[in-house]
Amino acid sequence: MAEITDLEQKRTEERRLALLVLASEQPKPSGACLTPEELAALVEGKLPPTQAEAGLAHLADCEHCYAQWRELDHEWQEQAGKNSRGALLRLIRRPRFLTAVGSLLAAAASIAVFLNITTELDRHSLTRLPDASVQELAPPAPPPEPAPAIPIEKGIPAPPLSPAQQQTFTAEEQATTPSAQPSESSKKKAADRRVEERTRADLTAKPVQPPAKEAKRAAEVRQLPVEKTRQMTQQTPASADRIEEKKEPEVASLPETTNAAPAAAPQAASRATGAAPPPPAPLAGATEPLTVTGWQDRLRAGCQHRPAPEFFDTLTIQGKQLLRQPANLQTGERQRIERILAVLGSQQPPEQRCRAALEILGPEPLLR
Amino acid sequence: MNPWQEKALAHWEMINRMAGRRFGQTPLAEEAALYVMDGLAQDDWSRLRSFGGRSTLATYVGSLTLRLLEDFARLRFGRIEPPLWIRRLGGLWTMLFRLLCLERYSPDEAVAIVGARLPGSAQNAEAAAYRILGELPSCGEHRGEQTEFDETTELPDAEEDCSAQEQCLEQEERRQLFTVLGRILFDEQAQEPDPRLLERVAEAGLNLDAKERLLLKLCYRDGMAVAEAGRMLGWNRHQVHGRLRRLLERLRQDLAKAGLAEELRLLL
Repeated sequence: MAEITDLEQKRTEERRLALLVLASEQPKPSGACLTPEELAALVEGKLPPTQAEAGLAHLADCEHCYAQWRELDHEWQEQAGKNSRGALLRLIRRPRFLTAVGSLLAAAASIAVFLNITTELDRHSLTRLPDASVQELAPPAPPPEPAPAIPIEKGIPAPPLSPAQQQTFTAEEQATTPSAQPSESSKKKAADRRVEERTRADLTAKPVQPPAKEAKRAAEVRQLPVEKTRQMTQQTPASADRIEEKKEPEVASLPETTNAAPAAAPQAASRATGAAPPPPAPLAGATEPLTVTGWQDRLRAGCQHRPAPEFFDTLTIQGKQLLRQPANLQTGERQRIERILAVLGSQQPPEQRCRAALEILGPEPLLR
Repeated sequence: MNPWQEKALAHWEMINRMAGRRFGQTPLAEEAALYVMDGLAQDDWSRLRSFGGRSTLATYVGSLTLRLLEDFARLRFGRIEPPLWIRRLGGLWTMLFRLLCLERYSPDEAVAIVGARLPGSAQNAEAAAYRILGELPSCGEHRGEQTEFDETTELPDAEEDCSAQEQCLEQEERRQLFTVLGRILFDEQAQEPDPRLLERVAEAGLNLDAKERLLLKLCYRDGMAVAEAGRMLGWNRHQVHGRLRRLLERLRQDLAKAGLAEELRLLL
């Protein structure tokens, strides 16, 4: 503020000094006034230097010519501005210019399409994300209850259910409860069919997987719920929890299915037995909401020791669950998770997968 | 149609615009524009025929238009010579004096016209307009008459040593010039500067060349931006800033050499 005041004061002083000096002089016009053409040429800077000097010398002493010089310069500046705009318009209207602009636009559009396709391909090859139809087919889960029966190892919490899944489940519950209870065999068939559909949809979303491995995994998935329901039908609902705990690695090993698929298996089993759905697994951290930081912490913690293959599958499922919540993710985080998921799904030994994933993850931040 | 007439009509829009700028958007401006066309058509378009091609025709027509508009104003309102202090200040002061005291525009209208004719001057013009009205209470009363002296002008005393009446008048005019100039340049509340001091400044022999005087006029009297003033004088923005700085420094040094350093420090 003080600097501004100083500057203003300095300018005032300069102005006073200049006006004092100007007023103290008694100039007398030198020579005749400029002709209209001389004045016009002076304004346009087309007078020879000597004549221009003489013209300016006259202007310095003749207030009448000085005023005309200023006004004409103002008018000329306006004309020049208009002419430059007119030249631009004329240039734009030329057919050659339009052709060039059209070609450039076409080239730009081609580049944009090419880049878009390349990016899409990269994304598919990196992440193998399930498409929207799979998300819609995701199995229902009870909305008010905490995430049930996700196979959790070493304190990994279950992924939260999306509202769409909760709505689907509620609708299904309402549809089944008032009517008469269907037979056990029909329930079993329905559960098997649902899991099959989910698995099929999931398989369509993974174009880069080797076909042999995919077929093997699909066969495992088809067999697993059937065996599981068979075992569960022989148990009481109370013992189903214990079975579930014991079978956690098995369920967790459901590879590349939708994230809610593990949760669907015990529910299907409970429906098959006609019993109420089992209470959620009382593991530590199971009710915690899934966050990016938590997921990264689990990855770091799990990779400190020699991790089991199920560990990678669980992390993959949870990572995909995170990717379906774009509002919580920044662009950088999304890309990082996608890259980590690609590494976790690779065929490398667990140690190498861990190392590569931790490299992508970077060092753990000191402050959170 | 005469080709020169066609060329003149092609510039009709510009002529109209310049007339509007000179007289405001009034019927007078339309009348003035028609007067310009008549002036151009005079003697079978002799003014246009004398065009030598040293500039563009549009600028040449603009220059002719300004001259003809001034002729129209003189025909319409007559001639008037402003007081010495206004002549010394020149520029927008002279223009405002004509608009206020001769053409009898209101202060706001006069300021608007000056702002349109001399862009960048509007801020200085308002203060100048009210200063002129304050210093010349009879401004506009004696239309068409010489208003160099009004009833406030004191005639020289007979006791003073004046060898001739003309010399006495000149001295009185100078005294009035420095008195008014002191009020304009310096704070009114402050003690009025001694006219003799200002006279000593005038006698200090500050030799300004034409471009330097124009630079000071454009920047400090008419309120134009320094870079814009430089463009009009053929200097780029770096050159003009450097020249202005050196010029002000030289003026201070010259005044200090004339023994006015302390007085100027107190005044400025």
